Amino acid sequence: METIFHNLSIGLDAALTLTNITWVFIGGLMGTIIGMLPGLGPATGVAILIPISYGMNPTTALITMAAIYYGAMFGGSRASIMINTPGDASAIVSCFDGYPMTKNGEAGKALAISAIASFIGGIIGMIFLIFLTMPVANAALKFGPAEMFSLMIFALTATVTLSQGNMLKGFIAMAFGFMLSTIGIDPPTGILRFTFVPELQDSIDFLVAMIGLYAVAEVFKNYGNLETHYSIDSKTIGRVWVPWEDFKKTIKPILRSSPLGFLIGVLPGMGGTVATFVSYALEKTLSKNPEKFGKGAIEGLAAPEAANNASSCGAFVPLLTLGIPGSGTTAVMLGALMMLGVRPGPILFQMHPEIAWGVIASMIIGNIMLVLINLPLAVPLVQLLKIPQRIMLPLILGMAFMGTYFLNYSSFDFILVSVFALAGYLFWKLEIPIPPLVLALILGGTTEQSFRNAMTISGNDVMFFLEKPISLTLLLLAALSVAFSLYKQKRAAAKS
Amino acid sequence: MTKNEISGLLAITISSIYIFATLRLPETAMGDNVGPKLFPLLAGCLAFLCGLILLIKDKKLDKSKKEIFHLGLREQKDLYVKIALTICLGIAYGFVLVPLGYVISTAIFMLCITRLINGKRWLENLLISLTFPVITYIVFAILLGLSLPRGLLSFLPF
Amino acid sequence: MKGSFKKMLALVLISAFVLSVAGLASAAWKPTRPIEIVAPAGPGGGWDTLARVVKKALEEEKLVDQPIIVTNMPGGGGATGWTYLKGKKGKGEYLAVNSSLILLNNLLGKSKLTFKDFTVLANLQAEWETIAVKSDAPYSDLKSFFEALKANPGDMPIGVGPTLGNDDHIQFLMLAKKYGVDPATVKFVVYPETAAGQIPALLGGHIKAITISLGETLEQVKAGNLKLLGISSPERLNILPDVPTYKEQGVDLVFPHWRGIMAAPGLSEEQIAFWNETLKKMVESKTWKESLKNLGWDQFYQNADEYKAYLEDQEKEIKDLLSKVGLIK
Repeated sequence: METIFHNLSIGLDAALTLTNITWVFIGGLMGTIIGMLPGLGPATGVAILIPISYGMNPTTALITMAAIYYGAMFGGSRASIMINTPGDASAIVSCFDGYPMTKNGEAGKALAISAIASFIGGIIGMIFLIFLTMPVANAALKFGPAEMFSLMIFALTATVTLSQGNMLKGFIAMAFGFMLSTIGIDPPTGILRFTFVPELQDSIDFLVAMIGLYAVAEVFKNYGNLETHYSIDSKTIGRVWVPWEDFKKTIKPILRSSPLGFLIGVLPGMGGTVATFVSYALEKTLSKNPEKFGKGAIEGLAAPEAANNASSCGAFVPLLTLGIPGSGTTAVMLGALMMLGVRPGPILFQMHPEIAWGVIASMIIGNIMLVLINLPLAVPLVQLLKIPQRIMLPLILGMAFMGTYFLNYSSFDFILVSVFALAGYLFWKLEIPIPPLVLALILGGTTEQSFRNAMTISGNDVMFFLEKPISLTLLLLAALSVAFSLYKQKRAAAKS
Repeated sequence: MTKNEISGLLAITISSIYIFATLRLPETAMGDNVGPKLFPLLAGCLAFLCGLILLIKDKKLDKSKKEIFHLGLREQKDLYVKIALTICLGIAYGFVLVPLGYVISTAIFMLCITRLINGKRWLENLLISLTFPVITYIVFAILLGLSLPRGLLSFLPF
Repeated sequence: MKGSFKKMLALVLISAFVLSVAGLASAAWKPTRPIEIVAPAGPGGGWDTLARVVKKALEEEKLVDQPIIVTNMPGGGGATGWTYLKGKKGKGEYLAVNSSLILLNNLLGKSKLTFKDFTVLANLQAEWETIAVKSDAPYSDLKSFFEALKANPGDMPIGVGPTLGNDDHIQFLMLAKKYGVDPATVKFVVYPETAAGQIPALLGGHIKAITISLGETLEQVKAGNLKLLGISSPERLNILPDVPTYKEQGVDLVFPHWRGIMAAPGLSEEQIAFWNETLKKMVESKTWKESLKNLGWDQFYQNADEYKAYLEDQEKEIKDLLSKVGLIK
């Protein structure tokens, strides 16, 4: 215990220089702005900074990158809340209740609670990272392909059950997502699946799909009412704060979602997206008024925000203990660190304690700094809602296409975005839920690969998934969540 | 038809085509024992089954209970024309981006889009469509070093 | 008709322009516009890193007067970026990084492009391949490992990434072949996220060995989590003096995973000479050597002629190999 505090103080010493704090501020602000643009998420944000970090010493570079990472996550949910356009996959869930809150004239409150919940989630995640890194890292190794597959199935069914009353459509959306995810080169065999044009060989980037399905489709939805703008009560604009009675409602969800988010974030390749969906589904199940979810329930926004930030701490566990990136962003950070001559790995804590603990300390500082940036920033941001739609929509379209180009540097993606936008609009008209599609598209590759790897290892034995206790539990949870929703649906039908 | 019936039909149509395409995937010499077909087949069947159930469920409903869904193509012609034009513009933008370069193609795209959305307020339109590409190019390509196609302007040193 | 006339006119104009410029500039050629290095992959990978290291070294050592821009063009295992380069015929300012994938993709039928479609300039760096097992595994060398594999292939899944038919996979097949293991019996478990998936799976005991490039395992070896059964280098490496090469263990196999740089097709003698000289200066520079050291990469320099000969040689060798292990007919 004492050594931990001693080490942390080394870290804080390394992190708390004037240069570093300046960079945390610049990085956090840049990250927030980048994160607000559709498609530009934490990974791009960090990648952009790599050239700037050449001249820095490793600690400063890492700290700045951590700040950008956090900033982009904060920024991603800003756009979700204000214009229903998630900046990144992990901000999709923030749309569910954040955007309805804006429509109810509570944009200021929504922005504030998202910043506060993110902050608390980040701090809890940090505490876990400091005290539990080693045991959690070892436990995560137990996750083989069978467990991974079952976790995916659980996360996906939980998302499907969110589309209540419409579970069949949810499953259809999920199947569509899986189908889209199989387009491209099949890694194990190298054959091309469903690639009608060569550009599809590298499979469809889920962010391209997201920009189309959310950002551009949202523009289409607004074509009907171009002259209106959001009802903003001039009183609520000034008050970017959360009243105590509202905050009280979010305490338990935040405290539940943070550890959950951290643990999911530790698993390689899972990251914030799954954490946000699972925590939202959990809160909706536990809530006394689940019918308020999706209509501007403040706890429905707080929970995923906390889970997302906590999971980003979790993603650092494999990076710091194994030198293995747990998410796209930490992968970019690993590359950047190597350019600077630092190779994170199991011995990073011994070899370069000032760097390893400097990262942890800088994440704490970054978190505090971002709340300080984001709460006041919300005031001018809310003012942006005053811009009339007829000016705002072209700018959103321009940003959406530019963001698309930065994803893969491919203008072919413009065509995909346009097609997805049409699909998104049509699905909206037909009331087919989009989230299961996007999540299945994101997780499809891993789901299929872990299924095939499990089958290879077990010699084509399906029972393999039921013989492993963790895998069995997750599959049972998935089945239960479907059964529970069906039961609730039946009961609701019987009542009416 | 109801929304559910249309969704069901959509799922059945798409999954049928998809399953057909899956069955026609080539056999491979190299690879794992599960192969590249099983997972797509499962996904396709899931969509097909759910679509079928959705269709049958609503077919059974009383005529009186059915909420007939129509897009309203005629009543909201304006809206759908705008959506169609935006999609066409987006695709065209993709084709000219590399040959013309980011700044020029974006300016043209934005001019068309603002004309579509903002109407004939030409001064505003011009202002938006000129400043947007220039500012974003300066910020992202010059200051942040991301690569954007330079196209016709590639003789410039930045 | 109209199109071809325009093309003709363009050709005439271009050749007139080229002639006049060539006349002015006499024999020595220099880049006259910003230099573009294509990294045919997204940011963060080996190709992107190499392109950025080249940019850094050329700029910091002031070896070129023009600014350098790195363009990321991922897709088709390099095909997208290389196709773009192919379209810049005769323009000496356009470069792209490459690797053995340019040979492999073509031989495996994944792509029509070969190195012959370009002007190859230099081979730059190499990483070596290895086979890693958990440090408490009961094998100490290749022989004991492959004997165990031969006896019981069903219980020994092998991790490979990101795809079958890459360098990592092929080196394992070659070793298996030499030790008399039937490749068809080996259970290959594929990890598209490469080391990020393979190493935790190996440490967690879900697979028994991984075939991977050396750099990705170094930290785990230093920490005592993994041990290496051999290296594909010609001699032992300074950083790992205890790990024997494949050659020492009686397998005649030296297998570099190299990366190099090439230019648009149809460059003139003067243009090739310029790059030959510039790149030679670059690989001898301090900035370059330092970057390589930081990344754990080995210098693997060959000039344009040597590189071309090497590629022709490698193409034959790999083709021979692929048909031996049954990946092509």
